[in-house]
Amino acid sequence: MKKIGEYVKWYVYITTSILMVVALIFGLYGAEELPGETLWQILVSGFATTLLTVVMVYVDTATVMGSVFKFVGHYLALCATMIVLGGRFGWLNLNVRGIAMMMCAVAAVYVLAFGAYYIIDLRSAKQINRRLKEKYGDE
Amino acid sequence: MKITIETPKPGEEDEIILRCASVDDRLLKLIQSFRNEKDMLTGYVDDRIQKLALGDIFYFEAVDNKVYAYTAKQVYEVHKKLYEIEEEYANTDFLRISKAIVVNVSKITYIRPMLNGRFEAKLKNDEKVIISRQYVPALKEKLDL
Repeated sequence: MKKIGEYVKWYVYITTSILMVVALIFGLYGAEELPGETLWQILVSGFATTLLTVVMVYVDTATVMGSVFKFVGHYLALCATMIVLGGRFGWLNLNVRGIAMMMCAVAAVYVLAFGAYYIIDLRSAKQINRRLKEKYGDE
Repeated sequence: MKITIETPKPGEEDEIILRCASVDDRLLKLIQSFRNEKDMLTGYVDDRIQKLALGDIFYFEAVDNKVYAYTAKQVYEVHKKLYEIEEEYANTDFLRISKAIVVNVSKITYIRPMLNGRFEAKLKNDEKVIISRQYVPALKEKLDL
């Protein structure tokens, strides 16, 4: 049940981040409105990328190099997923420029979603630290 | 003296109740030995065997199929598995925080999140240990949060 809760949290952060990046791209390219099917495509993209992310978050690495490999691997897996999905949804042209733009968009979503999660973690840490001080402060 | 042994209900802690008219020396020694047994652990360092007070241990770590107990200044090998320690001391301040570490929560000064999704705990001897994300809910539960 806790894992489902964790999945839902990540899904909300990632899907909201994708929506923000898509809105930004639409704004930059002067599109007047977001087509209805794009919203469903964002939800599907969010579902697929959340699965990859939840698996990655729970993989423990013992070394700094292991962490670097984990993050690079995760980012490349996200890019591959989004290039395949984006290609099917007609979000990108399958050429070097299209793929590079999709990789930039994935990086932007990555920073937004992990940034949001980091802020939540900071709040959790603050709560735990306050309790530690109350319970064991004098020891 | 009559001795009765009862099995506790599921979820209840083991408990010793003494019913006696007065507490004599013999009984006091018995109580003390129970207390010591629970709070002490045998540690091995070089060729020495030493009794360790549970409260002095900062954390246990499993490395290459061996388990070590870390006190403020010394590291001892402990002839127990990490899961046994986790289970045996579940009702104390000890808590599993990663695949390889069981920490004494009372020895944590503070924790902070890391960019890789894990948390880092700074201990009162200035050592740092990593808390895996999946053990954070258990830590919150331990602290009644």
